[in-house]
Amino acid sequence: MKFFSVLKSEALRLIKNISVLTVCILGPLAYFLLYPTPYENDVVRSQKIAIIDEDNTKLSRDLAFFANSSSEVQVKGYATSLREAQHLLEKGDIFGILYIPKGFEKDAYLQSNPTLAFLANSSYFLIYGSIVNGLYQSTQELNPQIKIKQQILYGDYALKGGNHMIQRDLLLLHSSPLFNPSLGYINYALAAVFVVILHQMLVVGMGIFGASYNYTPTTPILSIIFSRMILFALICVPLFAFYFGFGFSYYGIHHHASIQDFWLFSLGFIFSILAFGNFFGCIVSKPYQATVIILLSSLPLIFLLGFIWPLEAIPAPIKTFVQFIPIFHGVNALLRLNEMGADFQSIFPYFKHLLALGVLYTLLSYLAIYLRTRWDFSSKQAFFRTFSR
Amino acid sequence: MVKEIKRDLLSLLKSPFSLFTLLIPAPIIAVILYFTFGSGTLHKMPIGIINQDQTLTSQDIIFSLNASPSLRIINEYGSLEDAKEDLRNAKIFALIVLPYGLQSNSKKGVPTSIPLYYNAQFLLVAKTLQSKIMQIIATNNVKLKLAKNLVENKTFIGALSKSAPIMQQITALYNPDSSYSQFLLTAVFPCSLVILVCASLLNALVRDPRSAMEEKVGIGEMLSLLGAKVFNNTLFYMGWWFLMMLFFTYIMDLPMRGQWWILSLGALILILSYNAITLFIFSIAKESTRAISFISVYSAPSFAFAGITFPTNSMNTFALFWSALLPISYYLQLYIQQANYGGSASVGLELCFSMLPFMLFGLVGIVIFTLRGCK
Repeated sequence: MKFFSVLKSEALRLIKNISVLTVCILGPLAYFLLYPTPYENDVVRSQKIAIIDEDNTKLSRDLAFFANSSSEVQVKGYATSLREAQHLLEKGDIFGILYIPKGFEKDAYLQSNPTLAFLANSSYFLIYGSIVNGLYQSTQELNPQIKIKQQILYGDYALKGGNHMIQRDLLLLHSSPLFNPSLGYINYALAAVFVVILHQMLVVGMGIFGASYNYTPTTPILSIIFSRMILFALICVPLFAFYFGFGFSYYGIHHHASIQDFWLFSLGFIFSILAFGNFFGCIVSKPYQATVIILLSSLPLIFLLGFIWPLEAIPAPIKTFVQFIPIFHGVNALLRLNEMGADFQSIFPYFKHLLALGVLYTLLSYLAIYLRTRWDFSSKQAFFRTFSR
Repeated sequence: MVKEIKRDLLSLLKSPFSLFTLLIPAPIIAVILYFTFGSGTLHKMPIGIINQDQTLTSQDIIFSLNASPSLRIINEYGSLEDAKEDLRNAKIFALIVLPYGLQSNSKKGVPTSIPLYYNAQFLLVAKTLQSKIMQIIATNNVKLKLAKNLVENKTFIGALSKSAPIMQQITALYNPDSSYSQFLLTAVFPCSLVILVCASLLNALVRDPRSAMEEKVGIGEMLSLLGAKVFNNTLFYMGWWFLMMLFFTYIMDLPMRGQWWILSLGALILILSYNAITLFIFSIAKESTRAISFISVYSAPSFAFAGITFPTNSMNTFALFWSALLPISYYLQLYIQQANYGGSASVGLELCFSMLPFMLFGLVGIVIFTLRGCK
C-alpha cells in the first residue's frame, strides 16, 4: 500500500529529525516549567508605601497601623513632604503614598468629613490595585472607632433612636468572584497560555517538519497530508493529556469539564491544529523560518484571543481575522468548558468552527502541495521564490 | 568593514525573507494592537441584573449602573438559575441581585446586602467591573443615607458628613486614566522589537555562507563581517525604536518627561545586547533551526518575566533570576523611570549600565565564531 509506505518513511524522517522532536516534546515540557514561574505566587502582596502624616494624632497612627497590618500594603516609612515621597517613588523604593491632612482626627470626630489622599503608581496596574484596595479597607476599619468617639462626644443625642443606626451603611455589596476565587494570575493567565503554548509548539514543529521535506512532482499528496496528521496526533494527544491532566492539577488550575466533553472537544481542536500546521508546513520553505514566524506572532496573538482584552472590545475586522486561527476557538472554548463549567452545548459553535477550519486547511494544504509540485515549473518558481530564501 | 556593510545590504536585498522580517511585522503588530486596545478603557461590558425589589430605589440603582460608560445591562433575569448559563458562557461578565425589601429596609435604616457575582476568570474585566460597581453602590449608599439623615439633620452639609465619614481622593500617578493601552503597549512593543532584533540578526547571519559557518575565512574578515552585520542590524532597529517612540509620543499621546538621550542610550545598549545574545546563541548552535529554538525559549516569554503585568517584587526566586537575565526588564524599568517619572539622570544611567554585562555574550560569541569559522 502506498499510504503505509509513505507513513513509514515520514515516521522514519520524524524520528531522525531532532529539531522537530525538540520543539514538539522538549519545548512544551520546558515551557511547562518555565512559563508559570513568575505567577507562582498567584497574587500580589505587601506593596510598599510611604505615609505623609501631617496630623500626627492617635487616629492617624491607627490608620497607619491598619494599613500596615493589611496583607496588601506594607508601610515602608514616613515622609515629611510630598516631594520627598515622590522621590522615593521614582527610585522604586515605594509604590504608593498615603497623605493624611492636618486636622484629620478632629474633623473625623466632629463630623466634618476629612479627605485622605491615596496616590499610587499606576505604571504597574496590579500594584496600584492592591495599594488602593488595601488603603480603602484600612480606612473602613477606622469607622467603628470614629463612631464610638462620636457617641461619646454627642452623648445621648447620638444614641437616641435611629440616629445611631444611620451611621451604618445601608447597602452592603457582597462580591463573589466566580471561577477564580483568589483573583489570582494562575487561573487567569496559565489556563489560557498553556493552550497557546501547545498550539504554537505543534504548529512550529509541523512547520519545520513540512519545510524540511523535499517536494517532488511524484509526491503523493493525500498520503503525505494524512500520514503527517497521524504522526503528530501521536505526539499531540499525550501532550494534551499531560498539560490538562497533570499540568492543571500540578499548578492548581480548575478543570471542571467532564472527561468525555473535554476529549470530544480536544480531538476536534487537535484535528484543527494539525490541519493548520500541515498547511503552515507546506508554505514555509526553510525550517527556521517557521519558528521565526510563530515566534513573532505569539505575543500579539495572545492579546487578540479575548482572555486578556475582552472580545467585546476588539474591532470586528481583527476579530474576524483571528477566527481563522484554530487557537482562537480552542482557548475560548476550553476556558468556558474547563474553567467556567459551561456545558458542551454552549461551546458547540466553537467546536463547529474548529472542524470547519480543519477541513479548510486540509484542502488548502492539498492545494499548496499541488501548486508546489505539479504546477508549471517556471511560473511556480516565481511564486515560491518569495518564500525560498 | 565598509565593504562588508555594503555587501550585507546587497545580500539583504536579495533575501525576501530577511526583508520581510525587517519591514513587515513591526508595523503590523503596532497597528493591530493599537486598534485592538483603542482608548485603553473598557466600554459597555455586558452585565446582568436580577431585580427582585421592583421599587423606585432599585430602579434608581439600575439607572446609575446603566449610566456608567463601562457597563451595560443587557438582560434582566428572573432567577439565578436563568443567569447561570450566561455567566458561564461569558455572555455577561457580572450579575447583580437587588433583593426584596431593598427600599423599605433603607427607609427603616436596616442594612441590605447586595450580592454581586462576577466572572473572575477574565481578570482584567473582573477588576474593572468590580471597582466600578463598588463605586456606584457606594454612591447610592451615600444617597440613601443622605436622604435619611436630611430628615433629622435639616442641614445638607451636616447630613452629608454623617453619610460619608471619611472621604478618599484616589490619584493614579503616571497613568491618570488607567489606560490599558498605555500600560500594555509600552511593554509589548519593546518586547516584540527585541524578538525582531534577534530574528533579523539570525537572518543576516544565515544568508551569508561565511557567517553561517559554511565557508572558512580569515580572522580579520570574520571580525569585520560580524561587525558589519551587527552594525546594520543595530542601525535598522534604532530606526524602528525611534519610530516606536514617535508613535508613543505623537500618536498615542503618552508622556515623555525624561531625557531623550538617556532613553536612546538605553535603547542602543538594549539592541546591542540582544545582538550579542543572538551571536552567542548562533555560535553555539551552529545551525539556524536550533539557534532560533534557543532564541525562542529565551525571548518568547520575556513579557511575562519583565515585571510589568505581574510585578517582580511578587515573583519567586527563580523568576527573579530569569528576569534579571533579560535585558528587556532593565529597559522597561528605564522607560518607566524616564518617560513616566521624568526621573534623575543618575538613576537612568545606572539602569542603562546594568545592561552592559550582556555585551560579554557578544565577545564570547565572537571568540567561538573565530574558533569555529576561521581557517
